Amino acid sequence: MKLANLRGFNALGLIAIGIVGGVLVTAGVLVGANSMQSNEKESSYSPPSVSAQNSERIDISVDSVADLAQLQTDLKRTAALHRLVTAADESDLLSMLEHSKNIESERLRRAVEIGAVRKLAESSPQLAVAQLANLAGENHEELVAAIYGSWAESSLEDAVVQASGLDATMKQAALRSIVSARSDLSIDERLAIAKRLGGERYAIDLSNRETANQAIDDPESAWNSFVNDESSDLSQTEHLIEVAEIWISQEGIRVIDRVSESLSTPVVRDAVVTSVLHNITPNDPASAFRQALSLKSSSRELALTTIAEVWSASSPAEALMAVMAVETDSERELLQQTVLQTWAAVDPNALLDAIEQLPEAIRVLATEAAMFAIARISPDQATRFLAEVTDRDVRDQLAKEIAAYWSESDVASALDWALNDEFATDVLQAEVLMIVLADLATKDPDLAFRTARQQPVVLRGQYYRGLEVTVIQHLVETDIDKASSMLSEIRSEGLTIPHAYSEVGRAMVRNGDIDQALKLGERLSGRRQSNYNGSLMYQWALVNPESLLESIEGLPTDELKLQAVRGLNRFNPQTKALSDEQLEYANSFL
Amino acid sequence: MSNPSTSRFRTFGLLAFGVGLGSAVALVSLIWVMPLKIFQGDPRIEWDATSLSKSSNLERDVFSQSNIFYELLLNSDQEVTLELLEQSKSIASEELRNVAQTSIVQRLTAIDPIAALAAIAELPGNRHDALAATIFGEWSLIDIDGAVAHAATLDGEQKLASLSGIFASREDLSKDERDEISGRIGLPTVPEVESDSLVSGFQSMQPELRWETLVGDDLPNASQTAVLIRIAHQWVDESGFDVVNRIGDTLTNPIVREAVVASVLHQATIDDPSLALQQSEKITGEIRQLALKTIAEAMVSIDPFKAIESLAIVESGSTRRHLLRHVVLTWARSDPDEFLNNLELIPSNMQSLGKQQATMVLARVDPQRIAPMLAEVSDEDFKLDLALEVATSWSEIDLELALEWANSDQIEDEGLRWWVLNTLLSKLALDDPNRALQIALNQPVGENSMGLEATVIAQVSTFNPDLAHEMLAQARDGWAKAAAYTSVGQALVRNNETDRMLELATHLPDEQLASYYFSVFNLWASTQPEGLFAKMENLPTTEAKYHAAMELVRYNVGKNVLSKDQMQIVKTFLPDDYNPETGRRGSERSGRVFRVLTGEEAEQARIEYRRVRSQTTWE
Repeated sequence: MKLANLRGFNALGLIAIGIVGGVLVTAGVLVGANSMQSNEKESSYSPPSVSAQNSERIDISVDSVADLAQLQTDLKRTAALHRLVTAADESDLLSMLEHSKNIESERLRRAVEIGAVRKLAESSPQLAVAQLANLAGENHEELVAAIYGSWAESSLEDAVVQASGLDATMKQAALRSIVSARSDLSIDERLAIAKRLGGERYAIDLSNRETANQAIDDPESAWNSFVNDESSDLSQTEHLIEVAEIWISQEGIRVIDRVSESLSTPVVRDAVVTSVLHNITPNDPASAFRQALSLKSSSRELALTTIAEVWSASSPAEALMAVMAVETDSERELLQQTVLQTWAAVDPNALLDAIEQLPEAIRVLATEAAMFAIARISPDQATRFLAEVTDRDVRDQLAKEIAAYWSESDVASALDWALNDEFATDVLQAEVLMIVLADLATKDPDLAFRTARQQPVVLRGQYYRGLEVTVIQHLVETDIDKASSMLSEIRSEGLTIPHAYSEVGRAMVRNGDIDQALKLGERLSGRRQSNYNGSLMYQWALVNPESLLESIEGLPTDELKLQAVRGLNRFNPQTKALSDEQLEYANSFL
Repeated sequence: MSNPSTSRFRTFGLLAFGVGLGSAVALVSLIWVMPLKIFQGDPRIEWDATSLSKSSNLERDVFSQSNIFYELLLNSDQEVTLELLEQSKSIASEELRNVAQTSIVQRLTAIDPIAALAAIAELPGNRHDALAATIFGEWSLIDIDGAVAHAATLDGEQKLASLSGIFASREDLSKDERDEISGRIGLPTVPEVESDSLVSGFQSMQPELRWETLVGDDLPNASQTAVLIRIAHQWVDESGFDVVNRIGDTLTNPIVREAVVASVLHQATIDDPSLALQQSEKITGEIRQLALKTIAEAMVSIDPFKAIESLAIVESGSTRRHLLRHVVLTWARSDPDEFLNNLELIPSNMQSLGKQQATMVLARVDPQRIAPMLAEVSDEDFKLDLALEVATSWSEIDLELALEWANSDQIEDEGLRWWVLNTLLSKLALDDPNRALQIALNQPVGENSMGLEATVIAQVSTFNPDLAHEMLAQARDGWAKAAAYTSVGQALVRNNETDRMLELATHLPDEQLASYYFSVFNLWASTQPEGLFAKMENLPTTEAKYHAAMELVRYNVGKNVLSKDQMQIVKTFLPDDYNPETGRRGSERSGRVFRVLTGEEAEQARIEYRRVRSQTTWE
């Protein structure tokens, strides 16, 4: 018997040993296999302390909201908060709100408050609303949004009715949340709610965003939704751009024709085409250009020039080679110009260095583009080209471009150059000085006037006058009194006096100072005064014909009345300010 | 007594039984207790992102679903997280979708923030900046130095978004620390980054700050039009019309400027037309006319009657007049019948303008209705424009009926009839050139020898130069013949049939030769300069050589298609009285524009001008 018992125990023992061994081996094999199967990618970035391994479960258990701050990341805090809130009953939630006041982190406190009131609003929206009074007011909009969004899920009508009693700002917050939460409603239903709460625009914006979001799956449908709805294209421009970009990325540049033909507002059409191409072209400019050559709509030219411009900014030589192969002469010339202008704007010196490698037919154009670009960026450096340029027209234009840009950046140096450098002709120098003095007039009017007065009168025709007229002409826009005071010191040569007085007088008319303008004219006599008054009346007829009509009877002289009538007749086809009857009345003064 | 081998066998068997039992126990326990990957299959089966959206079968409770979602998310690897992000695009509710995507990118950030930044590029553009801020916010909690270092590599708006995210998340940073980080990241267009304003988060960021950053960065504004429009809307909503000038002044690209300004003003007017009208005075500079036009158009789209009435609140007469003009034109174009039916509501000084515009629109869509009204039009210029519009539109709809009208008593003025037939016969020539020619020849030549056959032959020459050449024999003497020969000559040049072109010249009287040569050699020099150079020597007459040389010189300036040596040869063919200043002979003024015209030529030029002007579109 003993032996049988001993054998029995031995058997059990062997089985037990076998069981333990089996468990250990099996567990070891399985866990080992599981780890090997983990296909966590080798991260290109190794954050210092967060585990990315799936096998290590992330623990976010906290006992209370006070412990949330111990969690390192926002995601963990959010997840932990959700867990707490989900498990909380009404009393817990109220307690949570009370404890939230002690949370140091404002961000965390707001998150707790929002989570708690949202949950509370599921069962007791009125109670949730009542809590607002106990909470600090800085994020009331967010709390209102949380409450009403949740409320709308359970009882839409109650939520809308209650929201309509809120002040404007809170009402808008509630509205946004309600229409956002109830995405199951049709757009018309949401618009109706929005109308009740005075926020139709938000509902429309939301609908637009939703349509735009669908573009990733079906851009053509999203596009058609936008262009066929009742809203103006102008109110949806940014969404049209986003949808078009997705559409064209998926189906190619040929879509531009569809886009162009479905937009009737030129401003929107051009904005969509240029914006999309600016973003898509860098991916493969050569392909974009090739595809664009097949376009047939009215946006073809804009598309080609935009692509050429974007391409030139990064690879101008390649872009130039591509446009040189364009068959149509006019198109090729336009695109060449675009490429060269862009190349010049980006790196004019590199363009100059590359001139000899360019086809002969465009070397002159390229050189000019580079020179003018340098004139804009470094006008002082560009002066060296003036001696090299043989084409007189180009040389003169270049000199004026230098003058304009140099004056903006450094008017003193520009003036020094204009006065002291050697110019091909004195006419050119005078024209350059005019540009510089025009800029100097508002920066240092006294210096400008003194300098102008010292220059000989060189120009003829309508500019047969002292350069002080140029100074006065620009000064009247900012300081009419100062300009007026200069009149006593102008020269009498050529048209200086009549032009200078006319500039001041007309500026006075534009400012509404008619009497002052007429009084100024009393300093002139004879024909000069008559011409001066005529210029005043014409200016008045152009800028404010209605008031001139009213004042015509009170003008002091018949000549003035006559000039006024002539002015009104002259400009009314343009301004359409006066009716036939009114013109008839004016003409009665003839 | 037991057998030793039996005993060993028994021992082994018992152990094996135990191992098998132990393995089974282990297997079952591990499957139920721990979800191992090798057994798990696809964890996505356990949760579907779309279940976060409203379902009639599910309780509409974000939180009850969210716990499962967060549980899964926190333990997901990169592949699963990316799949969740993909699924989240299908969530219908914007609010839930945003919440889900925010959390997903936060998880992705913890795994690989660079991958997170790449992933959000696949989402709609209007989410990019907010999610970028989220990524950097989360990143800064894990590794602030890494976040800052990467933020420094970004462009304008993204840089701002990253900064906003970091500051919003790291409330623990002092002002000095925030300033230091701003400097490290670098926002060169903002001299002193207003770091305090960024703490409240990206969505609360001042639009002005975002605007300045965006327009000042290295990216072209044209590539950022959508976001510029969004920021501009927010800016104007918050700060009013005062900022519209700022917006216009800071955008140098005219297309972008117009789109942004027009979008903003359109919306502002829709929101509050009275306010828009009152504030329109504040808009100055280059964008002013666009602004007034946009406001007027928006008002008409709401209610044209109210638009007219409400202009009274605009103080400035000039502004009120400009707005009225735009309102009238917009209304007349968009609903010409309604406009004409309410003409008495329009101030008398604008009635004529509006009426003309409305009539032109109707002429395009219903020319047959408008045709009889021509007789009532007193403005001769407008009458011509309208007649041409009727003719053009009608010829597209029913050319036969249009031709009937052109020959009817409805057109009293013969000059007007000429213009109408000129348009119709151009169209007919495309379909039935011989019939078009016969109709043209049946019309009187008129006072200025302007036979309509010239129009027909010109049109035919564009697609059948041989037929056009045959038709020349029927062209009547005078302007018609000269114009017809020129059209055919140019067509022959385009077809490389220059010998035939030169032969044509022999049929023209001397007084018409200069004009003919000018036209054909101008075209030849501009399209095939090398070809013309090659034939210079063999041109049949001295006059032809003169013209060829002059046009080659004119064309080669700035283009250098011909070499210097070639140009030297060309210049040997110039006439003795060639004037290099004008590019013409002797005392002729430069170019065809300034040549002194005879009385007849002047009249013809005026007629041609009016014909071309009639083809220009209204504003």
